[in-house]
Amino acid sequence: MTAQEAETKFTRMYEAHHKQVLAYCLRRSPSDGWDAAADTFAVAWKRIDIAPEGEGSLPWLYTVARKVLANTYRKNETAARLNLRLGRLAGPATVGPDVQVVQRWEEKQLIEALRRLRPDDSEVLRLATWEELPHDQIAEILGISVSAVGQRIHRATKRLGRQLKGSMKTEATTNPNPHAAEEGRTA
Amino acid sequence: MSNQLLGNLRDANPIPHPDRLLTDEADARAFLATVQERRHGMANKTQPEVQPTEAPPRPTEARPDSEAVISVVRGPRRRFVYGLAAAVAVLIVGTLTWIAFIDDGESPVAAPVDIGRSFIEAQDAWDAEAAIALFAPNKLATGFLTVVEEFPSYYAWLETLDWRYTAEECNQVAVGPPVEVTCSYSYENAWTQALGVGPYSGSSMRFFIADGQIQQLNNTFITNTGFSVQAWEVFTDWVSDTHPENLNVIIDLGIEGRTADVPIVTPEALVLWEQYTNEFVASVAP
Repeated sequence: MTAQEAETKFTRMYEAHHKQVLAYCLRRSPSDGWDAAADTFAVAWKRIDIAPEGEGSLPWLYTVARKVLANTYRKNETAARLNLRLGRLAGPATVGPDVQVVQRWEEKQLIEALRRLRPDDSEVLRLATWEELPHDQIAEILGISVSAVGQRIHRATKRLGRQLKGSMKTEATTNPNPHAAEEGRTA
Repeated sequence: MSNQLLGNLRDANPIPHPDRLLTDEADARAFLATVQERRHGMANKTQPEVQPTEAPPRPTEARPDSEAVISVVRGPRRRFVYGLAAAVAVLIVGTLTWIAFIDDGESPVAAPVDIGRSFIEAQDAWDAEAAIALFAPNKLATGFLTVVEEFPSYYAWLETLDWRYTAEECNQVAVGPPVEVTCSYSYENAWTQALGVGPYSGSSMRFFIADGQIQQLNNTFITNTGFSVQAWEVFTDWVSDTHPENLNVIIDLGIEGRTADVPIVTPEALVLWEQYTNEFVASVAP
């Protein structure tokens, strides 16, 4: 592949998918998402000769982004800068800023429950509901069979439900001694 | 319930409209600039990889005083230059290997070790079909709840209780055939997660592999590292207290009571396992 062909291929890929890749990264890491998305395209440039085109392009970029995020540890230095940028990145507001900042209680519970899941469980749910990818593309990203995707979503949803029940109960119960249960278990 | 939960999760998408990102031209330019910066940064980092392909300095650089001097001066220099080139080459190979490792997220491992890991991954995914496919026709598996042919019901039980297995270390311990591979693993389930205990290490599987298939598998499931006292007994005590009439429907208590607890994995028992696990998890939530 000539330098010109590589540049053309990269530009096409960037223009078609940079917003989705940025959204993917910001959904998983608001503080490191910007950097991770940029790094994703840097890796994509480096591997441009093997990067698929067409329908396979976006799942491939998500796969790269997933690995980049897993290797990202530059949180402290970039967090403040990115938070500033994020304020401007939100785009045209459809609801008031108070609603944007403070998520609904149920959604907050759901996101927290999602975070408590194992990474492979939370990722399959995010890919299915946030990126809204079909099973075959999820399978490609996670490196599993298409039939295993449905199975994983099923079991991860079950676990999410369990986690959610636990967190709802915690919120709903006023425990005068928050350490009581723990002490009871270890006694 | 599942569909509703997935719908709620869809609604909780923190960035539901990616097309609204970078609508401001300054932001779009800033992001592109960051990408370009990273691209160039990566290009600069990889620059040294190109240098070793250049020819090493020609020997004429040495002083042409005399053959003796030349041999003294050139020898070490040449060795130094070639040594340097070799070192850089090794560095490049190492770097490329490292990059491949980072990019692929996996290190190259021998096939038998892969088979061991694949089995534990199949067990973790409750994928009985994948697990059974790893075995040879005349297989033997010890230390499991069922024989291999009945793995589907066993794995259904694992799924009901949300059992998770993580391979910790897999090593080939004997050359074959059959090749012997041991994999240590940790485990946890819905009870341990709810109780905030585990995961428990110390268990292991020993695989005897030939012709790319598992001929025999011995599972050593260690429960005395905390699981028995911290989770199993807590759960079974809870069932004894809340559903005493059904304890023996889900657990074969054996002749001498608790000393021979064996989970029952019939479809009827699985319904109760699921119901009781859900109730138990809810009851112990802090």
